[in-house]
Amino acid sequence: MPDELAVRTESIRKIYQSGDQSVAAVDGISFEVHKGEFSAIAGPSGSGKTTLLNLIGALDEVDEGRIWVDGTEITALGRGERADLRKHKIGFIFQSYNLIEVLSALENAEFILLLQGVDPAERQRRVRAIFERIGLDGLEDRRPHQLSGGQQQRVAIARAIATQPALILADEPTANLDSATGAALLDVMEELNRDLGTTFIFSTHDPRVMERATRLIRLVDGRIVEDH
Amino acid sequence: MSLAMAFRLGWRNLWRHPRRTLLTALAFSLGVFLLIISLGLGDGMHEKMIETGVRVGSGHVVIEPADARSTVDELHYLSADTAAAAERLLHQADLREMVRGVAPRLLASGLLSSANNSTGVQVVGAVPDRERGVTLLPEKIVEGTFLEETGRTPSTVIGSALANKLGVGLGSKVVLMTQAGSEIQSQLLRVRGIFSTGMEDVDLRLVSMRIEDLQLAIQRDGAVSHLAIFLDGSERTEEVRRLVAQRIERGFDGDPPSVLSWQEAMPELAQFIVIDDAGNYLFNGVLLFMVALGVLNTILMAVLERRREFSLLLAIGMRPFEIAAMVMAESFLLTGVGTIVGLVLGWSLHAYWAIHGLDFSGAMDQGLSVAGVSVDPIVYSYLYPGRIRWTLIFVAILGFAASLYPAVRAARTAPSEATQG
Repeated sequence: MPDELAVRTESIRKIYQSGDQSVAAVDGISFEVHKGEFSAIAGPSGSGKTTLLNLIGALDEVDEGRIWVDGTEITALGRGERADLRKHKIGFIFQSYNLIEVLSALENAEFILLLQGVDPAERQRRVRAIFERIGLDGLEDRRPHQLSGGQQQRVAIARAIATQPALILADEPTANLDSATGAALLDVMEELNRDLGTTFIFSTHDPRVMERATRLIRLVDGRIVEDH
Repeated sequence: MSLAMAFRLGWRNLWRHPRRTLLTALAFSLGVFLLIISLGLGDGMHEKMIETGVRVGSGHVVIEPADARSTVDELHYLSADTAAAAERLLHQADLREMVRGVAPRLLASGLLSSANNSTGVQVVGAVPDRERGVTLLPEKIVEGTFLEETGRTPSTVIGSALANKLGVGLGSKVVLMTQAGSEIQSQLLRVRGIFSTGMEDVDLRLVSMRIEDLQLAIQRDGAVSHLAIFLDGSERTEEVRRLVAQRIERGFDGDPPSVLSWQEAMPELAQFIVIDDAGNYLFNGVLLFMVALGVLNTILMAVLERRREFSLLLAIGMRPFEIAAMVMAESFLLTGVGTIVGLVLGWSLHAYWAIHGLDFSGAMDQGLSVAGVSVDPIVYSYLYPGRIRWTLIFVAILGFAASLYPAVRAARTAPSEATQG
C-alpha cells in the first residue's frame, strides 16, 4: 500500500443474517482514501455507511476482502492487535458522543493517552492545548451531563485527536446537534484537517457535512454508486 | 490501563447509583457482621466447653498408661518412677513456656457413706498445690477450703449435690470404701470443702482427696492414673501433644505411656464441636452466598446498563481483560467497603461480648450439658487465631466469584456496539 494512503479496501463484504435471509451490508467495496482527505460517506439508512466505517475502524470483521489502514492490513490482525491499532492509529467520533459519565471533560479527552501510557503531565499539556483550540477552555472539570450536546461532541473530538491518529472516523457527528452547533463543529474539524493534516472520514446524511467534504462517496445497498 | 485507574473508575461507577450501592454494601456488611459474631459466639462457647471439660477432666493433654483404655473394668496406673520420668520431660524449656501446669492424679471408684446415706463415687486423688490455678474444683469451692491439711483425719472435698444426698456439711465425717487389690478398704474422711460446678454429674459423683491419702487407701504407693497437662488455651494442644509424645517415645525404653489430646480423651465433646462447627459453617456459607448473589445482581445490572460504555472503551483501544479488570475492581470495592464496615461492627460487638458476655440463661433455664460438660449460659465471644484472616479470604473469594460473570459479560461486549445509535 502506497505511503500516501490512509485507507485502502479491496472487495470487502460484510454479510448479516436476518432470519433465513443473508443481507450484504457492505457488498464488494474497493476504494482508497489519501492522507489528509476530508471525506464523507453518504447514503440512505441501511445503505451500509456505519458498517463500512466499523470495518475500516477495525470494530468489526469483514467476511471477505482486505483492508489496510496507514499501511497495516487490519484484516490480518487478531483481536488484541486490532485493539492496539485502534488505540494508536484511529480516532472515533460517535453520533451520541459516547463520553464516560464518571469522568470529567479533561479526563475523557485524555483517556486514550492514558491507555497509551503517556505520562500525566504530557497528557494534560496536550489536552489543554486542544481544549483551548476548540473552545472548551474552562470546561475541563465538568462532567458530560454538565455540558451541552455541542460541548460534549467537542470533547469527543478532543479525545479523538489527542493521540494524533492517522485517521479519524466520525459516525454521523452532527446528527444530534442543531444547525449552528453542527456548523461550528464542522469548522473545528475542517480546521484540524487543514492545520494538522488529519484524515477524516464521515458517515453522514447531513447535507451540510456533504457540502464541506472534499470527497463524497455515495452508498446504496452496500455498494458505491458515486465517488467524487 | 493501570490498576489505579481501574479502581478510580470502579469507585466512581459505584456512585452512579448511590442508593443501590449502599444497599448492596450494607447487605454485605450485614453478612460479614453476622459471620464475625456467629464465629465469635461459637468459638467462645466451644472454648469454654473445652476449658471446662479439660479443667474438670484430664487436661488439654494427658499422659496415661498405654493400656489405660484397653479395658473399662480395670484400673491402670503409672508407677511413681514412670510418672516422675514423664514429668521431668515436661520441664524442658520449649514445653515449659507452653504448659501452664501439670497435675498428677490418681483415680479410683468407691462407695461414700454418711450416717444417712451412701452412694457410688468417682474419687480423684490430687496434689492440691498442683491443682490450684489450673483445674476447676479449687475455684468452685463454695464452703471451706480445697484439701488443706487441718487434722489427723484425711480431708475430702465433695460436690454440693453429693453433700445434700448424704446429708453432710462442712466438718462432717464420711467413710470411703474402695477396692485395694482383692480387699475392700474403708477410710474415714472429713469434709473440708464443698464445691459447686453447676455440672450435675460432677457435683453428685466426684470426690477429691489428697493423692497420698488415696494411694494409702488403695495400697498403691506412689502410683498415679495420669498426668494432666494444662495449657493457656486449646489452640496449641496438638503441638504440645506431638512434642510430649516424641519425648516420651525417645525417653522410655520398653512400653512408654500414651499421650492423648483432649479430643482423644473426650471424643464425644470433640465430635460435638466438629458437628457444631460444621453446622455453623454451613449456615454462614449459605448466608454469605445469598449476600454474594446480591453483589452479583448489582454488578451485573451495572454492567448491562453500561454496554455502550464498554463498547466505547473497546472501540478506543481498551483490551477485554482491562474491561474485566475494571468491573472486578468495582466489585472488589463494593465488597471491600461492605467487608470493612461489617468487620468493624462485628469486631466491636465481639470485643464487647468478649468482656461482658452474652447471657443465654433465659433460654437455658434447664441447663445444658454436652458429653458430660455443662454449657455456661453466659457465652464470652472468642475468635480462634486466623478466624479474621480466613473470613477475609472467604469473602474475597465470594466477591471475586460474584464479579466473574459480570466481568466476562462486560469483556465480551462487541466494540461495534459503540456506533449503534
